[in-house]
Amino acid sequence: MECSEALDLLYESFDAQITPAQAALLNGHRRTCFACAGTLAKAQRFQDLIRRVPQLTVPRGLEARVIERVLHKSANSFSQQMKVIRPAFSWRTALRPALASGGVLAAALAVFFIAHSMLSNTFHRPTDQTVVATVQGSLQDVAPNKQTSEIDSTDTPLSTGEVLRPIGALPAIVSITPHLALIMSSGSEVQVGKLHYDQSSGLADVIFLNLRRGTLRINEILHRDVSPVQVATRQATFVPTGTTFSVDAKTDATDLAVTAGSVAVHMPGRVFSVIAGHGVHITATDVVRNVLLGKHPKVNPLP
Amino acid sequence: MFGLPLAVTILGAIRSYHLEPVSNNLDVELMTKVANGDGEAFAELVKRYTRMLYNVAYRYNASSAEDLVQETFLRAYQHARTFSGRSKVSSWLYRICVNVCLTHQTRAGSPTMDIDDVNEAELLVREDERPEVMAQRGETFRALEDGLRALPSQQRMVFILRELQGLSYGEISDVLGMNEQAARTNLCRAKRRLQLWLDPLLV
Repeated sequence: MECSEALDLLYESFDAQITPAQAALLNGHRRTCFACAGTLAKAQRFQDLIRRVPQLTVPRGLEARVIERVLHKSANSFSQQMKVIRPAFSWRTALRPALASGGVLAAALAVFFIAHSMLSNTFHRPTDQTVVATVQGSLQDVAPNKQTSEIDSTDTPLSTGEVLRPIGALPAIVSITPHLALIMSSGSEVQVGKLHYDQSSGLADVIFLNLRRGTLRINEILHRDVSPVQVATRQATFVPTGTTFSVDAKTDATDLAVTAGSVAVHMPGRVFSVIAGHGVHITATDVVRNVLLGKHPKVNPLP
Repeated sequence: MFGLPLAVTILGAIRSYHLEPVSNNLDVELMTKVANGDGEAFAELVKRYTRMLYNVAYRYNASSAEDLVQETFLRAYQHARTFSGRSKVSSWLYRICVNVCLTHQTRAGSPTMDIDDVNEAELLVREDERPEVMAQRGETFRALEDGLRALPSQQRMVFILRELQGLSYGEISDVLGMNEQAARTNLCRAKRRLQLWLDPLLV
C-alpha cells in the first residue's frame, strides 16, 4: 500500500467508510511504514482538532434584522407587482362597455368561440403535459402531428413532443415558469422531450429539453429544491441546480458554459459537475474543462 | 478500530441535531404558511434555521456572513411556493445558502475554483499569517478557518457540510449537486490541504 493511499484510508476511517479488510490493511501499513507514521499521527490530531471546532452563536439581533429586511423588501416588491398587473384589469374594464352595447347575442357568441377554442386545445394537449409559457420574439412551433404554427404572442401552451425554432435573426425568450427562462439563439432547435405539470403545486416539475442544434441558454434565477429542467444533446445531459448556463450543440461536440450555480453533466459511464465560471467542451472522445473568460449577458425571465 | 468511527458518526449526528431542527410535518406546515405570505411563520422559520445557516455562511465567508444569511432567507421567502416537500427543509435551505455563497463569490470578483485547478503555491501566505504564528497567539481555530478559506470552493463547502455541519454524504450530494463519490474525493483533498496548512500546530 502506498503512503498516500494509507492517508486517504485513514481519513475515510474517521468517517466509518472503510471495510474490515481495508482497516486490516491500514493497520498493517501503520505498523510497518515509518516514513508516514508522523503524517498519520498528525492526521489523527487534525481530526481531533476538527471535532473541537465550536459551533458559532448567532450575532445579537440577526434574526430580527433578517425578518425585518425580508418582510419589508417583499412588501415593496409586492406593491410593484400590483402596478404591473393593473393593465390586465384595464383591458377587462375596456371590454365591459363593448359587451354591454353588443347585447346578449354577441356575448354568447364570444363565450362559444372562447370555450370552443379552449376545449380544442385541451383535446390535443394533455393538461398534465402542458404549461403556458410566455414567449418574447418569434417562434415556429411544430406539434407532434407535424402541424406547424407561429408563436409571437405572450401566453402560449407548450406540450410534450413539440419542436421550437426561433424565426429570423433574433433570439426568442421562452419563460416557462416565473423563475425559468430559455433563451434560444437564432438557428437553434429544441424539442420538448418530456414535460410534466403538477396540478397540485401549479408548477412544471419536469422539463426535459432535447437541444438538436444551436445555442440554448438557461436562466434559472430561483434555487429550487429540485430543478425541473434538463437539457440533452448527442453527447451529454445537463442537470442544473438553480443556475445560469448555456449549451451549444453541434453535430460532433457540445459546449457548456456555467455563469452561476453549478450544472451536473451526465455522460455514459460518468457524472461530473461544472461550477460557475467554468465550461466544458465535450466530444465523442474527449472532455476538456476550461475557465470562462467573458461574462454572458444576464437575461431575466419575464414576470 | 471501530469504536472511533462509531463515535465520529454519533458526534456528527449530535452536531447535526444541534444545528438542524428535525424536519417533520410541522416544518412542511410552516413552509406552506410561509408560501402564503404568513409573516409569523416566516419568523419561526428564521428562528429555527438562522444558526445553521450562519455557521455555513461564516465558515465560507466570515466578512459577509450576515449578508449571506439575509439573502438566503430572502430567496427562501420569495420562492417558498416551490418547496415541494420532497427534501428536508434544512436541505432546501442549505442548497439556497450554498448557491448564495457561490454567487456572492463570483460577483465579488474572486472566481470559484474547480477541482485540480489549485496549486500548492496558493497556500503560501504572509509570515504573520502562518499557522505557527497564530498558534502562539492561541488562534488555533482561526488558523483552521483561514486555511479553509484558501481551499477551492467545492472542497471548502464539502468540508463545511460534512465535518462542521455533520451532513451525510447523501445530503451533501443533494445539496451540492455532485455524486457521493465526488463528495468523498473533495473531502479527502480538502483534508490533505488543511492538514498541510496546519502542520505546525499538529505536534
